[in-house]
Amino acid sequence: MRPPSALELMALVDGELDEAREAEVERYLAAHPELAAAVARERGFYAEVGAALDRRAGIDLTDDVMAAIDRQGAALRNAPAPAAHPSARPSATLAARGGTVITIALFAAAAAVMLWWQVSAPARAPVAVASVSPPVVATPAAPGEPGTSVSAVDFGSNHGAIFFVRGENTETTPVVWIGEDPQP
Amino acid sequence: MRRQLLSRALVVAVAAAGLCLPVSRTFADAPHATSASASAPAPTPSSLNADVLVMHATNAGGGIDPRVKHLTPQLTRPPFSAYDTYKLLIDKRLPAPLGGGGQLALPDGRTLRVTYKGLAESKGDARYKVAATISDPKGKDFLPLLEVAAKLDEPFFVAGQSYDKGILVLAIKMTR
Repeated sequence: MRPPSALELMALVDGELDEAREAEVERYLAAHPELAAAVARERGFYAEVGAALDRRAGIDLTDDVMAAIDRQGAALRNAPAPAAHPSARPSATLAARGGTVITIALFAAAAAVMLWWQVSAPARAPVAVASVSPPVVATPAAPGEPGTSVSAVDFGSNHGAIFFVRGENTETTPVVWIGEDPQP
Repeated sequence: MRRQLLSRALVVAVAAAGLCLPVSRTFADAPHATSASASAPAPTPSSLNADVLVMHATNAGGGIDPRVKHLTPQLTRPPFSAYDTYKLLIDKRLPAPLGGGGQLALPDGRTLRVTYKGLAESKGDARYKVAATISDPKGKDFLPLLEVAAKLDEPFFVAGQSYDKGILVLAIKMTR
């Protein structure tokens, strides 16, 4: 069975994959749970965002934007050919339009990664700038109310991590641990 | 496929725009911003103190210094439990006026700077924005930035600097 490409997975999530291929891809996913989980996450994400957009706006901007692109494309096709200038060649125009689509896609991918990161990261949890090799495994954040919380940290060229220890009462105390090679 | 890509891009772009909302809200909630919040913000103290304890952690079998016994609950739990000896080297109070602070020479030659930056956003008890940095003798940053929302009389720790067969553990507590 041919593994699905990234575009096919996108089409699957959007429900735009043709029926035969969709069945194949679903069978492939059934045999690859990690990929299936990723697709499920993406389906959930787009369903949630789409639902939110429907609730807020009740419109689909896609049709409008596609129509605008088609109108622009038609105008370009009907325009008289300009004098021979390299930047005005049809191939260059098409390349520029392709570049625009790629740019939009890149922005979309970056935004998706940011959103995924924000959703999957623990709420307001401080993040170590780099990995750390602590002397022991730290206690995870305790459920008690934090007494003091870390808002930002920059370990510079060192590696470090943030731990939480429980104090005398139920409050947790942050420990900013800076990794440093031991002195001889 | 082109329509599909565009649809996806639009959805994600709108979602990305949504990400800006919490950021702008954070700015809007800054202490100096005027807002129609239901309760008036607590007054920002013009000055606090930073009580700094500098401890030397080793595995010399010496236990916890009686002068820092109050930190026993923390010092006997990971990651501090990796060391069995905690000796107090420095106990210093640094006056920290709003927008300023004090500095302390550490036993390893580095310098700790603590700056009180004002009131932090908090739903419960008041928290105060405090920045701490550590630089080496040549002025190079060892810990370029640490910013915390500190509750009064609740310490936070900065640990890990190598020192004399052990490490330094700093406990910093903001007090009035």
